Parts: sequence; structure tokens; C-alpha cells
Amino acid sequence: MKRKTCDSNILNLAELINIYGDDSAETITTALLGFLESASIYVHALQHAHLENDLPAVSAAAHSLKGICGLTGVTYLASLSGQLELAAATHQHANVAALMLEFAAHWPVVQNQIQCVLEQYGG
Amino acid sequence: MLLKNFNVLVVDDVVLMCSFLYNAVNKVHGCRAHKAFDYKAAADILEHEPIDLLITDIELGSKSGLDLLMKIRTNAFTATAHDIPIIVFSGNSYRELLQKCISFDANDFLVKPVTYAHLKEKIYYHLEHEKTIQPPSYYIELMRGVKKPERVNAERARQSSISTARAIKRRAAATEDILAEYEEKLENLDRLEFLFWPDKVTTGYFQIDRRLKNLVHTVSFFYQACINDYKPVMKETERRRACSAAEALIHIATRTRRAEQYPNNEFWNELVVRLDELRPLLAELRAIDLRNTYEVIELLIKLASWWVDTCKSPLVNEVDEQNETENM
Repeated sequence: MKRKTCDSNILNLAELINIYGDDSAETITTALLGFLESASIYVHALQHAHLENDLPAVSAAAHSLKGICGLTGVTYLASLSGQLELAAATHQHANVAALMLEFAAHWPVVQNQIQCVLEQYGG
Repeated sequence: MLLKNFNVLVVDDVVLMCSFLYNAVNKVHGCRAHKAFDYKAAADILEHEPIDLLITDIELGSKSGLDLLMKIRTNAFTATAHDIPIIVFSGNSYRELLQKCISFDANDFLVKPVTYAHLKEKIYYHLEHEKTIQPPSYYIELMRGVKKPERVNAERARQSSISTARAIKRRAAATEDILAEYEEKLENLDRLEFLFWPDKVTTGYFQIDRRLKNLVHTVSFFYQACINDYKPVMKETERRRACSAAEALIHIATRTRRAEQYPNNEFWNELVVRLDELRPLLAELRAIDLRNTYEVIELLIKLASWWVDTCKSPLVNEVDEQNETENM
């Protein structure tokens, strides 16, 4: 019942469980807390790099973020990060700017979703 | 199920990913995980731990997983063999890097995200199946990039390995001949030409005797490791033991001589000469490139000669035998 509140387009718990090979509350909460901590660092790095117009740094941060989003089942953010990485690597400034806006709007949604799941799992 | 404990190194500059891989590998029966977040830490582990499998991300900040792959294949790490299986995490946007990884015989490529079940399957597969890896010289030539070196197929690699083994055996036979010559020489010599242990020897002398025996044992083990072409890490371990044994002998002898009432008698003068002869051999042993089997065997011959000349029959034993005879 609890999992019904989780939007799989934002956070796909089934994917997370499949990747970790374990559906225990401990594994799920550890993975999500770890993700929040790590992702926050890369999100800040990404925003900073964008402000500095440092496209290689945007691409590198987006690449790392894509990896940990994929690992945690954070589906849509993984897709956005992948698009950002590619746009930055190919110097598509306009695309990078548009994707960064979308990214900025979506990141709080991801955080809320994870907090919600963490509460459900007692994290 | 894997029977031995395999050392698996996971390398990823993204902490969360690295921790996931580390925990996943530790869950695989028969595997012990090591983790590194960057090239330098990974190189350090490969240098000091005998790693059996490397799982690395291709992007590691300033250096890449390819750099690790190249270093391993060219046999640049002391503790890790050059032909270990290597799994590379790759992204679609690094085709040039991937091409190079293929040239350096990466065993497998994985795309993130990888599930625990898939990773486990890959680990089992690569630890249980051997892939033909070229000799390090092939990859060294490849790195120089002058021309694409000729690949050695499995049969030729086997033939090459056999011919190398034969050459080593021939060399070993030559070593045996030299040693036999020394044995014969020894039989024909008056014992006084060797170290003459004075009467009423003290504990210090017995310690020297023990260290001399320990040195010959460790040199013998090192010799076996080289002749039988053991793994580099084993050769290195035996080399270190032999060095420690030689250092201990020199240390004990120096300390005992200092405490001696007559440090310039015939025995000490002889021993000092022998130890002075041992020092350059020890320096050579510390520095020698273990990959150069011929040079190593040359050095082992010199060490064997030194030992035979010095103490084939330490007179401490004879004193013991005399005492035993007297007691009987």
C-alpha cells in the first residue's frame, strides 16, 4: 500500500530493489539517503558550473549525476542528466540553458518524493 | 561458487557508485572487495595487493580507467599480475576510449546502472574463465604506438611460454652445475679455509649461525619461486624475505662483534670480509627487476656461491657434535 504513493516516473522503487538485489527497508533507506547526500553535491556543482558557463564541468557533473540516478531508480532525473551531459559536451548552449531550467524545477520534486518514501520506510 | 578468496578492486570516482559496487562485491561468495575513488588510490592498491579482478569506471577525473588498464597489461604493478580480468564501466559517448580498452584486452564492458545479479554473474564468469592475454611486451609496444604489434595467438603464446620455460630450465641446469662444482670444491678443501668458529662460542655466535641458515633457506625459496615462474607477488615476497634475512645476518653479526672481547681475531676478520662481499649482493637483490629472469638467476648463482664459500659447514654445528660425542 505504501508504495502506491511513489510515482515511478520520478522514483522507481522496483528498479532500485532490482539493482540492489534486496528489498529490505534498511537497504532502501540507506540507498536513498546516500543518493540525497551525493546528488546534492553534484546538483550544486552543476548549478555552479552552469553559472560559470563551464560546459565541460556541466557535462562531467551531469555524467556523475546520471550514474547515481540510474543506480537509485530516479528515472526522469537520470534522463535529464543524460540530455544535459550530451548538450554540454556538444556545446549546445541554448539546450543546456533550457535543460537547466527543467532540472531546477524537477530536483525539488525528486527530493520531496524521496523524503516521502523515507518517511514510509521509517528512514 | 568460488572456492578461493578473490581480491576484487572496484574503482569509481562517484562515492555512491563505488560504495554500491564495493558492497555488492563483498556480498559475492569468495570475493573480498577493495575500493578506490581515484586513479592514485587504485594504483596504490594494485601495487601492494594481489588483485584478481578489476572493475573500473572509464572516467576517473584527470586519469581514466584506460590508464589503469594499460598499466596492468604492461605489468607495471608489483603485486598484481598483468593478465587479470578487467571489467570496464563505459558510457556510449566514449567510443575512442572504448576502442583503446579493446586494444588493451579489457575483458568486458558494462553499462550503468548494473544490477547486483548481473554484476555477480559477470564476476563469476570472469574469475572462472580465462581469456588469452598477450605478454606485457606486446602492450608496451602498443603503448609506444610505433606500429601495431603482432598478436600472439593462444597456441603461439603457449609455445612461447614453453620455450621461455625451457630456457629457464636450461639456465637452472647451468646453475645446478655451478653449485655442484662448488660442492666438489668444498669437499676438497681444508675446513680451516672456511669460517672457523672459535672455542667457547656464545649465544651471539649461535644467532649468527641461525641467521646464516635462515638466509640460505630464504634464498632457496626465492630461487624456487623464480625457476618455477611463480606469480610476481610470490617472487616479490620471497625476495623481501631473502633481503630481510641478509639484513638480519649483517645486523646480528655487527652487534655480536661489538660485544666481542677480541673483535679483530681471525674469525671476525674472516666474517667481516664475507659480510662486505654480501652487501653489494644484497643491494643488487633489493633493486633487481624480477621480470628479468636471467639476471635474477645470475644473482642467485652469486648468492649461492657466496653462501657455499662462507658457511657450508658452520663450525657451531661441529662444536655441538663434539659436545654430543663427549656426552655419549
